[in-house]
Amino acid sequence: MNADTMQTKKDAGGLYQNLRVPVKALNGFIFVCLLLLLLVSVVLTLRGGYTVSFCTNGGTAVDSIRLRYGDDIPFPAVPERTGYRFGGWYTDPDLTVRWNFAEDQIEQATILYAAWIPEKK
Amino acid sequence: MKEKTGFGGRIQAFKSLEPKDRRLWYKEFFINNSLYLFLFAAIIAIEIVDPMFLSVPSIVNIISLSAANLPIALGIAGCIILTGTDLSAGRIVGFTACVAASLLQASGYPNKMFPGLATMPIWLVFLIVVAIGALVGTVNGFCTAKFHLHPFIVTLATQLILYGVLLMYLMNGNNNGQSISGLDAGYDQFIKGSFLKIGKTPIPNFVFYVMIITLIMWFIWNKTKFGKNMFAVGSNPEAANVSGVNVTATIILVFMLAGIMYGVTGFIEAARIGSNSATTGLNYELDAIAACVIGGVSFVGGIGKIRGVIMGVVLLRIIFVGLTFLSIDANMQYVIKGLIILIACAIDMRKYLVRK
Repeated sequence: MNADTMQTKKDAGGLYQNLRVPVKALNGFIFVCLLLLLLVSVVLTLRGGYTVSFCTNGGTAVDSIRLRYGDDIPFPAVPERTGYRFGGWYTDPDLTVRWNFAEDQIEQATILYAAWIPEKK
Repeated sequence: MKEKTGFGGRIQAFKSLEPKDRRLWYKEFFINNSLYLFLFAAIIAIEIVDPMFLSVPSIVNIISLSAANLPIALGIAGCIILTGTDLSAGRIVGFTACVAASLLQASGYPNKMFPGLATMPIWLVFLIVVAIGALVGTVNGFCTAKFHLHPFIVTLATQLILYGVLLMYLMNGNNNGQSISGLDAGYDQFIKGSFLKIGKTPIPNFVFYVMIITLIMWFIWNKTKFGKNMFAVGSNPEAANVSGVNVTATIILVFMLAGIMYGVTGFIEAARIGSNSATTGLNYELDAIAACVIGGVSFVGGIGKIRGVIMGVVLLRIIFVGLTFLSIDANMQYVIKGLIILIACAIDMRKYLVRK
């Protein structure tokens, strides 16, 4: 008897100090949340995929495509712009890092930016 | 019948149960471990969908990410054991990372914050950064212990104050508020270089540093009087006080130790990310707290194990890498993270209520 009362006195309870939630309710809550987690995961996986959009910076539009993690980007149609030659696709708006279509793979939603070289008349 | 202790004793106790009690045992086992079973099944499912998930480079990546997030989780675990929390953890990591980065920039770098600064020895910067973490932690602990303010409020205040200090610090010298990058090659090599490879994939050095730190924390938690005091104060402060434990000193020391761990995390993080700004470390504490709860550090107080924290951190990382492999949008991953935390908390609460 003494050991039992010592045990319950030892635990002050912290965050759960004055909680009166029935265990059955918690069981139901846990079950519902697990089900929800499963549902959300499956739905998000099926609708999953990373969008690769192409910002042509003044040229003709190129459609965005949806790929999965680890895919290579298939080479898109070359856009056109009057007075300029197409100069390649870059990963940042400042056009410093080029996208290597042979090696680079998709890891997140990506935007590729087109570079233009002015045509000499 | 000889009484066995430990795992063998548990098997013996299980075998001696009646069928009705055995059913109850199974039920309790499945509910208490339902999250782990679910996550384990998810990992297997992801591996089936994309076999590259458990390839050697991917596993090394998961180990590196876990190692980067482990010290902060170990620090926060101490605060949770004291039935508190520490919302300033992320900002402390960010601040110490920026300080470390600013003091260890490459000498020829054009946008260096302190242009006249010679290359400082790495150990000195480490000590400076850890001291800053310890200082902020001590402030947290002092306000909590002496003025009996709830750690939530104290660490929230510290978080905001530190953010302001960080923004001012970034305007220093030659920097003018930009990100701090261009780190010294020696520092970069110290943290991210590797002397060990598995197959073709190098293991970064900081993984080994974190292993050493984890061993030190295990020793502090389990083999020192301070560790025992921490668990005693966490489970019942009044009883601990009556037994002669200095509750104030213990609380201050726990928060100071947590601050030291955040400093270590910041030191490693500065080199790991390479480019540090005011957003470095933002919301890191949420992942750390989630990892602790998943790993069995209870909000009841006074309950927690180092191996639990490690498991929580690794499990959380595996799941997030797995979600990327499933091509789930990064923004939607927050929904799943939230659900996992909710389930972990509900299981934790249930364990306490069943015992009562």
